[in-house]
Amino acid sequence: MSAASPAAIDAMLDAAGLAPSPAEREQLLAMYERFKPGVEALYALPEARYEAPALVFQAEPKLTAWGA
Amino acid sequence: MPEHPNTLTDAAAALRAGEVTSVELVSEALSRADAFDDQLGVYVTRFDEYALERAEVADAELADGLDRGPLHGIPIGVKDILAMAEGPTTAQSLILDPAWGQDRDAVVVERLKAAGAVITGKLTTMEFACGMPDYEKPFPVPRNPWEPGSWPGGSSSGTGAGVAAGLFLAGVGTDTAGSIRIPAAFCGVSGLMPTFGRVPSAGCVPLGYSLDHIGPLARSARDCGAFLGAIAGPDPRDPYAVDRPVPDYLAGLDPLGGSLAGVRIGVDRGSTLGSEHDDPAAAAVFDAALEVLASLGATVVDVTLPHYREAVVTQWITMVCEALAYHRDDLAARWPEYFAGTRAMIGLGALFSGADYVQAQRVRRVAQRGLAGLLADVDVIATPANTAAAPTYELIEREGVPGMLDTLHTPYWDAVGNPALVVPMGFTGAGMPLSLQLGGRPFDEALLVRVGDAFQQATDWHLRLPPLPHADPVPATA
Repeated sequence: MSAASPAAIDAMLDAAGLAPSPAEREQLLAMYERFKPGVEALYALPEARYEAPALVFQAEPKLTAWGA
Repeated sequence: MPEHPNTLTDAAAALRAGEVTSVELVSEALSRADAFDDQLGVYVTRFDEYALERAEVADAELADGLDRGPLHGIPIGVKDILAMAEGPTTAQSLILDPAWGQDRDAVVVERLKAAGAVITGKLTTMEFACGMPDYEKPFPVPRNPWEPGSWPGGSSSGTGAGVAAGLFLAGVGTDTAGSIRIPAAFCGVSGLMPTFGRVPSAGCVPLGYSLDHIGPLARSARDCGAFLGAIAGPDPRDPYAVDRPVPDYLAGLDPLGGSLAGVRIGVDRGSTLGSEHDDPAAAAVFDAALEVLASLGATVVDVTLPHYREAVVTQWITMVCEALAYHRDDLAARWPEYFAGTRAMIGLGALFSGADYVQAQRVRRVAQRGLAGLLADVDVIATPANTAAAPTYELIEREGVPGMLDTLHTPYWDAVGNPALVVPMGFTGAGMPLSLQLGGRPFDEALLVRVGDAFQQATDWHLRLPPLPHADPVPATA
């Protein structure tokens, strides 16, 4: 389950090296609380139980870098 | 009121008929920028001299029988998150290293130049294509041509406002959560988000790697089809670009008014209408647009977009996590230099776990499968793009954006990757644009253009022009 306690929020922001002001921290917390039920609902979706994620990885790097 | 044709495709026809020159089209575009850009904040950088030089070249080439296609000689703008060798790329930010895009063209810019388009300048955006304007930063604040106290939508703000105000005939936008379709909807122009991978993104500053779509904003759906034809197709510099043939998006269009007989349009009201923040006119305007589609022969049936709420959540998680990966070290070292709205959005990515991100990608697959099943039964899905007018900057400062998010119906299509077209469908009681959104099967942009074109031949919402100049002075801040 996703953590949402104030201490956990501070720990995650700190781990990312982010230093919001107290007002910004409250704003981030409020936004996260708005999303948290939706995030939990993703784990509760039965159709996703055996679904593979929409990630792409190619073993052969056939690409040319932009600007190379 | 523009003197010359104000749709890209009409201007292209007039160029070939000898009724106008590229130099005249570009000169008018630059004159309108001189007159209105101080009020609208469309441009970050203008390339007047370069544009007039390219217009002269286009006129000479067309006179010599060299026709590069429908964009040849047409004045257009480019959102300032795509690199272009003629000037700096800022992403409207103090953070982006100027060396990143210096003396280089994004793949899309390369293609626009090869198509003979005349790029008049780089256009305003939200910082790094997210967040909101910040009056404390040294960049223009984009404003809505219909009401300069209002937001033009974002993040392709300058593109939407510039097309609406006639500062150019079309432009490039990018869409990660709605950033082509929201400014198109708020400014009363057309905007096409192509299928994910249809247009290469190399040379474009990323926001969400697995969500970013590059596409056109223009006056009409037909214009968008012409534009997409010039920029679509694979490129080895983009790992997400898909190697599929690029069709002629104008080939199926009927110049005498298109029949939609045989086209099945699914309508989802339940996922998009009903917010307490909806404009009172939204439902009736949407119903009137559906009646137009039915009158053209389309079969209109009620449907429900599968996993709508979940897909919208996956879009947010994916966007902020992918954006944080790109920005984390800069945010840590230079937090105050970012716009406040950018910090608030991308900082949210630190609060989701790696498992949350992967689960979001699993649910995106579930939503894709469900939508593919629905699109086996119907050809196109119609919803409102916006169910409220562009908010005023004063309202945004006072109440923030959460209420507004309930009235914007774009992120679902970014999450699943399918194409979506926005076309104007009417106005609120206060005279602000409301727009229709048409979503389709992957790589079936041609059908969206056809439906949008038929709708626009039966209506004139896309040809309505904002009242310029505005008499009231624009406030220096919100």
